[in-house]
Amino acid sequence: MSAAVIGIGQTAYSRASQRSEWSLAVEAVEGALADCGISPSDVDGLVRYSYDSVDEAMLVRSFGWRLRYYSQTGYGGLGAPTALAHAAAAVTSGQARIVVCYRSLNGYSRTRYGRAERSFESGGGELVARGDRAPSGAFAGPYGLLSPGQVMAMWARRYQWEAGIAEQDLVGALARIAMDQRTYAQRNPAAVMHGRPLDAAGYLSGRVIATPLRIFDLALETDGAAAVVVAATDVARAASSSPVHITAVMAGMFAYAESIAIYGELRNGPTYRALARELFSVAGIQPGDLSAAMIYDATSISVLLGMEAYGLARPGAGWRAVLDHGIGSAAPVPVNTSGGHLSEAYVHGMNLVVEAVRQCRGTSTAQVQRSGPVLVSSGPSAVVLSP
Amino acid sequence: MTGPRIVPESTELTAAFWSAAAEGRILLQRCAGCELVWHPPAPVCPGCRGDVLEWFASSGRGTLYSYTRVEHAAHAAVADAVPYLVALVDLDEGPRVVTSLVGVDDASAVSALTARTRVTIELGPAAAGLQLPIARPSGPDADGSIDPAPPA
Ligand SMILES: [Zn+2]
Repeated sequence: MSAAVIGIGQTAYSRASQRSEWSLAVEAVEGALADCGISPSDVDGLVRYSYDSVDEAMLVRSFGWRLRYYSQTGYGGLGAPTALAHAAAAVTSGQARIVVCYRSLNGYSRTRYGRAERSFESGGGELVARGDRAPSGAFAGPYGLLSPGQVMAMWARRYQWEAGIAEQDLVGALARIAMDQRTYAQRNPAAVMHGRPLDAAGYLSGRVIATPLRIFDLALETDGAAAVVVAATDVARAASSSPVHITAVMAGMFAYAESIAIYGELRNGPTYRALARELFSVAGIQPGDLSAAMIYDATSISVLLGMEAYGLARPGAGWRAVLDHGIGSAAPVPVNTSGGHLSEAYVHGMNLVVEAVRQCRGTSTAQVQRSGPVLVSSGPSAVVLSP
Repeated sequence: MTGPRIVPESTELTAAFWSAAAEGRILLQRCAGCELVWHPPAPVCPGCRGDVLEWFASSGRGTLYSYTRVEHAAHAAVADAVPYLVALVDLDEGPRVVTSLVGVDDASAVSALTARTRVTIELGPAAAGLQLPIARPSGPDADGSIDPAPPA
């Protein structure tokens, strides 16, 4: 594949941007273009998350673009790797030469993903649950299954049972994930949780949201935007930045593998692992070759399941690997080195892509020593980036 | 219950399900062609795409797949309901359903739940205010071990 990420941009991450999501998106995209020395007028492609309130027409108007290509990616958190899949396909097929991907949300001050209010029409009387998805769909909402964290709490319990471990071992592993990501955030001045370290006692004192998950197991709700610029390799050579190559990318989907699923495989299951093997085969690497991994962490259990799905630990053994080595700088493959969604910001995976690019460039605030490919995964969707 | 109730939208695909659910029964779809059974409802068989489908009532017996005790209300509608138990139950006919879990009244009973806990479906109060099919542990536990994820 001959596509590369050439530019990265982000706004400040906060809990009160006091700005529109449109304004945030413009700033992140401007930053990403400035990062690679590309003139805004050279952009001819755009990929948007279908969940984003900032649509193509708004950004086109702001930047005066004349696009040849635009597309949308669905399913929220699956969107970051999928956006790169669209962008890479567009530039390698000649449909576009320079494609911007972005995510912008006031995730604290406007739309709180930990709350279910957005799931139902407001107004008096009864609330109507629609569709067949969890959380909040017709088969889940009436039972009070209303937030992603509640679904993932059930993933965590099922993981514990399938691994055959005690609750304290599960909680120990989840705590270690939350603490190690918080430690990364202490090195990242842009992280919302910079200056707020978390120890084991602090983790355990966090209030229980839905057993076995506590507040520190859940992604932050934050305001902010992030963007990347993807270009064909010949364009990338002319950019002012070092290109980070997209060596394999996968917009995976199979039955009940949508974002927050309850009816299918647990997310370390055999179909997820088969897709991961195919991704690594395309990239020509083994999981152990990764220098770092960014694993979509809507909750801490997603990290554990993702480590097993993408071969960083054997199925059912991720908890042990985390207890033994953690996911910090000393781990065999450091994970979520910016602090991730738990401690940097929750920009629905796009900030994980930005951190993966920094790792490939050697500019992360928690830079890994070994140069090599970096994984960004979200359930069945993933991308491998290489310096 | 002071908040609004959360009620399911009934569609042409799900009307039969919700009519039975109001009486505490779980209806499942079965393909007349290949006999596959599934949930949630779909317009064609997920196995063979056959469209001759029949509804039948689940035995109302199943095994716990997972559960959570919700302690933080994610919506005003359940502010008075917390803490409450939500469960995923694998019905003996195969499909998995979301339900409320009752009859697990103290911490030791909750911590005794396992992947072998057998449950029976009955009509009762779902967390968000409706009377719907809910699950109650029926013991004794199922024999054998659960299927862990097979090695890679
Ligand atoms: Zn069939």
